[in-house]
Amino acid sequence: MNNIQLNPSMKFSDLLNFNPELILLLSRFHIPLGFGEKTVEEICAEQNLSANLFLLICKVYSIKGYKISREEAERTDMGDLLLFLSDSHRYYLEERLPHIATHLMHIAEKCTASQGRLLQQFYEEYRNEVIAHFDYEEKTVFPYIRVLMEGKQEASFRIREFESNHSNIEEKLQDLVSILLKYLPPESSPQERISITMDIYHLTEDINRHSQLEDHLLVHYANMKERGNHDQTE
Amino acid sequence: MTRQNKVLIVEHSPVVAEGLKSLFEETEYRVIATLPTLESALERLPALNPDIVVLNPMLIDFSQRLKLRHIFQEYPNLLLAAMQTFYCEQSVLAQFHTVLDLEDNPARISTKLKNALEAISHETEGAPAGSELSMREKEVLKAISKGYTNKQVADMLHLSVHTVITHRKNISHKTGIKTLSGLTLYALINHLIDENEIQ
Repeated sequence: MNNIQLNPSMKFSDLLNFNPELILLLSRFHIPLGFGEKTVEEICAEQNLSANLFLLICKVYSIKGYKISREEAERTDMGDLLLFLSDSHRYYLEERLPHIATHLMHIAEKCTASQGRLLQQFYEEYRNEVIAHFDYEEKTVFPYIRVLMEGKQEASFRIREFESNHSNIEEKLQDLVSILLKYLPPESSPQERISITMDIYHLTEDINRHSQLEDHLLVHYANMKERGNHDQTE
Repeated sequence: MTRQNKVLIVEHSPVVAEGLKSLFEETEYRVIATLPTLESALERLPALNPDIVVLNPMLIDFSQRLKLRHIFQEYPNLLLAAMQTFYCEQSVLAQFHTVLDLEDNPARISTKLKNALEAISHETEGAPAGSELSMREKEVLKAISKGYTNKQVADMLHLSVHTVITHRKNISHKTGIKTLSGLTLYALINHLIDENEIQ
């Protein structure tokens, strides 16, 4: 997939031909279906969304290992980015995880009682971990970025704390895949296990890209601002 | 497996060095040399080609004390055993494959070295992915699934913390499971532990 094809004046439907999986991002941008022959620029304008940011996120989600350039980072609309990240958190918690949970509970019913219980417990632990992870970002990191956007500096927080605390929430998902594929008794719901594995795979990829946006765009922006604020006070 | 029994003792105290040497005579291990400093040991290492170095941690220069693996990086197959005669910080000891104590008898020394050699051979060969867990790995897995810390597992199984960590890495490599709760679930599914044993 070549990113040269992606530009604001291209037809929105061509973007989805380029990578059909991008359709999973639309609800998070509140872009409704039925875009007819409108361009990316027009659709973004309707949603009051920066087309640059939208295309950048499409690239990160379409091209494996995509490197966000300095220039791209610098022209990012941070307000729009924060909205997208928050909407993604909601999407993971309210749509993806419950979906996986439902399948897991079916699988748990087909296992022995204690295996089933442990499987449920494993999922609960994972869910709590994810909630805590998102909570920290929503309550501490994102508000801090908003303070920086207003040209102010908060005394008690620096972005490097986020960098060092940014935990990996994909690990448990990978463990779950190993357990589902390799270690549960073969006779307990094989079809459901295969389908849930694909769901987990997609979620893991999605969260990976999500973290990439946070690690590169948020951190870059905050570092830049912090340096600026520091220079001013000297 | 080829015999790995050549031991180099690096110890400045003649009492300890001679004591170790005579204890080793009652084991399957053979002391090939005794040297008083780490520098002299490093110089002679290529020529002596030991399988095991028993080193007094106090002989490591203070600034290098946490860089043991770096010092011996050219000898990935070499087993590093600490001979602890004085109190030594856990962070320093953790870099060794195993730790010998003044109270150890020949049988105990022999067991410690054998366990550590087993772990190190997996580490360097890269545990073949897909192979079954070894007995020792199962023991480690059982203990961590029950909620014991690396340090507690090390004490229970007479291993160094470093060796426990190596076992954990190998277990994760073989099973594809990294987190503690994932490993616990694995242990339960494979009947290594019972549900009521989980803390």
